[in-house]
Amino acid sequence: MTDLIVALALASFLLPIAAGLAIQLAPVARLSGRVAAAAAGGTAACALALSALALDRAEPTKVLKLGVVDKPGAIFLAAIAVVGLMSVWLSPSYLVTTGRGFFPAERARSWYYLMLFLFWAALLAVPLAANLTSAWLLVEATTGASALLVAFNGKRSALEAGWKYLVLTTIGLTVALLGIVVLVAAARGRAGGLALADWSELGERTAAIPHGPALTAFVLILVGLAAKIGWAPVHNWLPDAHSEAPPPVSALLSAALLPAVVLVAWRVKTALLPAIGAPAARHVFIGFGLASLAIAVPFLWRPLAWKRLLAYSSLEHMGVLALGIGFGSKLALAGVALHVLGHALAKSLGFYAATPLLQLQPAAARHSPRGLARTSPTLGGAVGVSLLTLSGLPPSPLFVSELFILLGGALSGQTAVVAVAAVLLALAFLGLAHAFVESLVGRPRLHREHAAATRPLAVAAAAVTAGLVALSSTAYLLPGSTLVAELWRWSS
Amino acid sequence: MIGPSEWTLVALALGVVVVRRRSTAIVLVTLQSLLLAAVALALAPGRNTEFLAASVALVAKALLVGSLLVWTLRRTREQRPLVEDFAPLVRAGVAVALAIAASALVPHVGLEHRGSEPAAISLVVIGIAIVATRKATLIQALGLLVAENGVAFAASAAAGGIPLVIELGVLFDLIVIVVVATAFHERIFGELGSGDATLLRGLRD
Repeated sequence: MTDLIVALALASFLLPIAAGLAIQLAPVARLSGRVAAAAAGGTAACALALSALALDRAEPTKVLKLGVVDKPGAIFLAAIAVVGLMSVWLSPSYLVTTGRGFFPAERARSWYYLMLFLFWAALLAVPLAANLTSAWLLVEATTGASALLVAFNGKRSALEAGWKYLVLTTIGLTVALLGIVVLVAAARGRAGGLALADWSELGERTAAIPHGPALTAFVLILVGLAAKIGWAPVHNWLPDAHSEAPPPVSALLSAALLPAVVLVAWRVKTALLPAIGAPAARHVFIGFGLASLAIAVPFLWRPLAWKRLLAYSSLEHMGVLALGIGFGSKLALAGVALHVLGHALAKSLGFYAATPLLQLQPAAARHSPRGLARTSPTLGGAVGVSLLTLSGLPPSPLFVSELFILLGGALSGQTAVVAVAAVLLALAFLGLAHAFVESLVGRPRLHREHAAATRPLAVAAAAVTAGLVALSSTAYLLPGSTLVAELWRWSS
Repeated sequence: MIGPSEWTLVALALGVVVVRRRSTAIVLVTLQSLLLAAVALALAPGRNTEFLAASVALVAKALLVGSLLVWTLRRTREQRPLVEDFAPLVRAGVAVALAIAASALVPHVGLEHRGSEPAAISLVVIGIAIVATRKATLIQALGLLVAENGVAFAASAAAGGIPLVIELGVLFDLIVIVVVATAFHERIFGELGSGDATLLRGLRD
């Protein structure tokens, strides 16, 4: 069984890289799309099988000293696998709309797939990283490929978004790296070499580090990672990058990259808990969570362009995850696990809807969409499912997960924080509900008469809806499950 | 106590804050990277061979990144000098104030040479100040390098250094970032006819 896990872990990482390189050799565009689709299917199958095995096993499995397959990682790995698969499969619908951009037109498609697969490979490896420095290297490795993808269409606004993303997230990760160096330096003579210690070993050894340097390291690492997660107030790149990137890439950024880095932050919290104490760790996470919610809510009330609205919704939902991890109770952690999966499905569907939306209503690139139910029922349906789920409307899985997190916070004694968060979530719900009404039943904007290709979106919407229904109908089992019990034991 | 090498590293970073020409800024950062590598090589005799290899990698990085930046600069000559929003003295004042404040805030963390701590933190902060206050995309990319040099300096000043595999991983990631940053710079230059980051201020809510 261990050999199978190691093989699946390696395949999940190496297959997309090989596919990206192989596509460079494809002589015709259609062939590159087929190779990409097949490779994505294989990669996602390996990653999902790995995730299932990890959830089934009692103990984590090491992969060649550099990787670990455990339950927290398995949840995030599943989300990244599904979003990556859908992003690759829906890329042809986007690519037919593009010409010359950041790359020369004749090579744009192969460069796109190379960057997309490299980005996805790094993302799939993040939940499997066995130690802090490997995780940092992988998170940093996502930056180069994803920055080029953000600027893929080559327009001035895309260049601005890509440059901002590259510079701000690199600065953030440099600060996080300084935190790692501080941690390693502080541990010398007390806890031995920490740089390559795996997560559990790191937790045991950091107990010997004095509180001051440990807290400094923790804050530097968290602030640096926050810049990549897009937690307020270091979120400036997020709305621009999400709105300018190709829709399949926006889906990966929002539904896979941000949660993957949240997992690294969660692992750092767990590992440094003995050195910094639970209150300090909780305060930092709750601070980022409330700040992100408070900054996101006013934007969710504004008539923003579709992808920018989704970007601010990402800010809100990453804030919810921060609160859940900060509360740290069993119920809150059940909420975090459910929220990661539900958000991944609903948010990616929203971004996939942007491709036909922009074909049908080009003005939606800068203004809020209107009257989609009349213009295109398929598109309206996808936008509706995405928005209603993201708003937290019952019985969507995000309603259940937010309820779990708030109740979990109340049970852990954070009543005031829960009250503020509940008000902010209610306001966010109202903002997105208003956007839902405007987008679907408002008066349609001027639109192109020719039909946009909505068949791939219809398939994705059906699959996502089935996934969301499955999550909602099984969510009630989570709080009492062994999975959550083990997550809580690991996290405490 | 802060030694002459630390002062020189910080002075070179401040030079990037104030100089007008991009070519001068590239020379200053390359010198800083080479000095950093020299400091690491000087520490190598008392440490293991891994540290020596990491120090040699720092030399290679300095030369490789410097060459790439000079090559990019030659391909993207500005028609006229960029006029900065803030005067050099104001930029330097902001960078120094931020560096002093950050150095005072961060407690002693246990680097082998205590004077290295404020120097490393100052380099990171000055790197961020360069990104925030300079207009040229190429100089903003240099700001990232200055900040990364601060972390590399802290890593080499930590007792025993950082394992080679990590140093190499960080250097590889850094080189990828610099390659991507120069690709962006060339594309921005091609699109706007200038590497002026302030021309990229169209996205607002």
